[in-house]
Amino acid sequence: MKLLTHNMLASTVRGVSQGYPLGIAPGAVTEVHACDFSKEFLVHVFPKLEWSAFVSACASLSLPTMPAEVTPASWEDESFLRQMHHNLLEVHVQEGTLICPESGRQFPVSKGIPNMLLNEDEI
Amino acid sequence: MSYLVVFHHTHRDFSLAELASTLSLARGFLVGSTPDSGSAGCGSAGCGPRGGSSTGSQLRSLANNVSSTHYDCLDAASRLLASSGPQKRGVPYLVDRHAAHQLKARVPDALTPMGAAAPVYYVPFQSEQEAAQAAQRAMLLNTIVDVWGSGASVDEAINSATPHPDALKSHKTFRVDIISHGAQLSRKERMDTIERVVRDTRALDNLTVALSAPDVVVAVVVVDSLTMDLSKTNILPKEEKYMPKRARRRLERMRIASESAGDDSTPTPQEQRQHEEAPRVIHWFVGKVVAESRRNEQVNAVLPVSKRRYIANTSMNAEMACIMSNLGLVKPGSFVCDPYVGTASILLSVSLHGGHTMGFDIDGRVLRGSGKVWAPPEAYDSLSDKERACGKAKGYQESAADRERLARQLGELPLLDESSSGMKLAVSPWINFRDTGLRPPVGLCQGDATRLPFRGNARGLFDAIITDPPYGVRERSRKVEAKDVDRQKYGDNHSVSTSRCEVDEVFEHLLWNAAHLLRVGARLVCFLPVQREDYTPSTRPANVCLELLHDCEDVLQSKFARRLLVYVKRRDPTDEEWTTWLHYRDARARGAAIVQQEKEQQQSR
Repeated sequence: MKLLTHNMLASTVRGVSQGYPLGIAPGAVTEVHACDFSKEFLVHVFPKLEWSAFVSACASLSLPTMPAEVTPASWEDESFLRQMHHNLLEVHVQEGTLICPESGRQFPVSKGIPNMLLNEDEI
Repeated sequence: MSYLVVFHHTHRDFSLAELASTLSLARGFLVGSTPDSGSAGCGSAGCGPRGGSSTGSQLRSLANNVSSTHYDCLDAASRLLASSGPQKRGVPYLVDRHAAHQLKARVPDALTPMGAAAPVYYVPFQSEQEAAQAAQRAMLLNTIVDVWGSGASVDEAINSATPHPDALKSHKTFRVDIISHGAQLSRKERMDTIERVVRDTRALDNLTVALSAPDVVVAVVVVDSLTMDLSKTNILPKEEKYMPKRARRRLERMRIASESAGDDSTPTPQEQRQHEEAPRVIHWFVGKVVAESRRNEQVNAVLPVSKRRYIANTSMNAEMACIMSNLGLVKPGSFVCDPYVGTASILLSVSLHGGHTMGFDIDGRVLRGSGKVWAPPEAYDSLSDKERACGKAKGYQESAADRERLARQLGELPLLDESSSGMKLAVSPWINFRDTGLRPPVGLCQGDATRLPFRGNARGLFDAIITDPPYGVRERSRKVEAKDVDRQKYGDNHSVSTSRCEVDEVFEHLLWNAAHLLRVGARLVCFLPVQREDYTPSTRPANVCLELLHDCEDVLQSKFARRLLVYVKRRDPTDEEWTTWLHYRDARARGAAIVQQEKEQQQSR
């Protein structure tokens, strides 16, 4: 699971209003898979991101910190773009747990695939 | 300017729909922000386009000036965006410059008796370049020809040929190709035709012949209805489709004979010939090839299912997946979702077209893969026929000895180790992306398509939803059904049970997901299984926010077909529509009374 995926997922357990952002439990196993750098895609996907959730996800995986605020100057900053690309698209959470911030429900990630399926009594 | 478009199949609905889509892709994209689409109520940030209007108009003028590929547009957009500051969230994304989903295709007059079976159409293009671009991605298109002359016989076609004086001006070498649809030409007839074209076409006098890589290809297109107008449907029924041509002709003759002659009298050979000839349409076209399909080098060489290491029962074939991706207007940078992803066949094609992908499936096993180690595709070639015959063709390793032998055969190719963890090793959808070198999905998740786990403000997230939902025939449709679970008994070991999800319900959810998750102007492409007798346009799934663009029938059996539906999202659902839908969804899942009760409880709190 890339952090871009994590950025979009939420807990939809019954009674939860936002269920976002999902916490990443400590001890997650990550792998890095190289991926072509494309500034176009970063520009394209940026408006669709919840930046604060991305920043906190980076922190919980102890990745290099992303700035809290993106300024126009950031887009000219090659190192920032590379770092964003790395954190967003190259780091995979292979094994771990996602935690709903409201209900505490845990969603396991195994072999890189998060299991977001709800139980029958959570619908 | 109208060119003659020759298709591979008489797949009329599909061919024209696909051409319309690739044409609108070719016509370039207008970069800019769409009008605010009432995205209120879907959260504070990141829920789709809300562009600053000045940036929008700048981008638009820029895009109009740049008669270039989407990459340039994207680049320009990103530069502009960078200069204006991303906080404005003036989202540069690509919208069609022309709403050209309705193609102005016309059957050549002489072929009108063939009706839906005609495999060639006149289509207006603005330029040769545009035609070439449209042909580049189309899977069902064979050739686009600038017609010089046409007629009922080859002589008539050549004699009426009047090439544009400039058509061959800068060319030195040429070749003649014959493209026949239904006509059975012997080798001699072919040679005669080619010779006649070379001899009688004045414009070719100054050119020399080059069979490989000529400057210009002259095409002789011949359409013969005898073996083509077999069926009233778009596609021949399966049984006839796979018949040898001679058998098909015989069948046709018998049909014509029995229809016209009544039941008990057998027609004389003379009568038979008359009937045979009466409805027959044969027409010749001569002209210059403007563009040819590149599907062999682009798709068939890269993506065939037979070369993949991870497939399942109903993996979509590469050609159809590419057609779907074309219909979804996927272009570099598009963000595409498949809620019934399976082995990710559709996402492979989307990735081939430069899209970024995301998939969901209710069955996690299919996404995580088997964990067994399979040989890379190169290994297929090194196996003997005997080994292939006894099912080892895919290099499945059963014993240590097998493994060792295979390792030797593979030489330097790394063998993957079952014991270590990670997606690198499991035979899963990822492995197909790795083998083909295509960009792997942004994410594959286990999730229920009737309840996708997106954050609340995900509206407008995707540029297309392209999917092949289970038909309930070879693949079951499943959902998680609401019911109580005895937590005391199962504790944490409870595994979720799924229950059947009817096709109607699948589509209801799919359409609402599209209405929610697509950006305005983006497309939903999906297959709908139908009983052919019962299907009418009124039974088609519909949604207030979506408009149907294409509906193409693909016959599977004589009574059962699937229809490729293409919708475009015209507007966001209003808050009221959306909450009504959510309420309805929950009421169906948990029972109306319970939902009402919960609502009251919430209100009283």
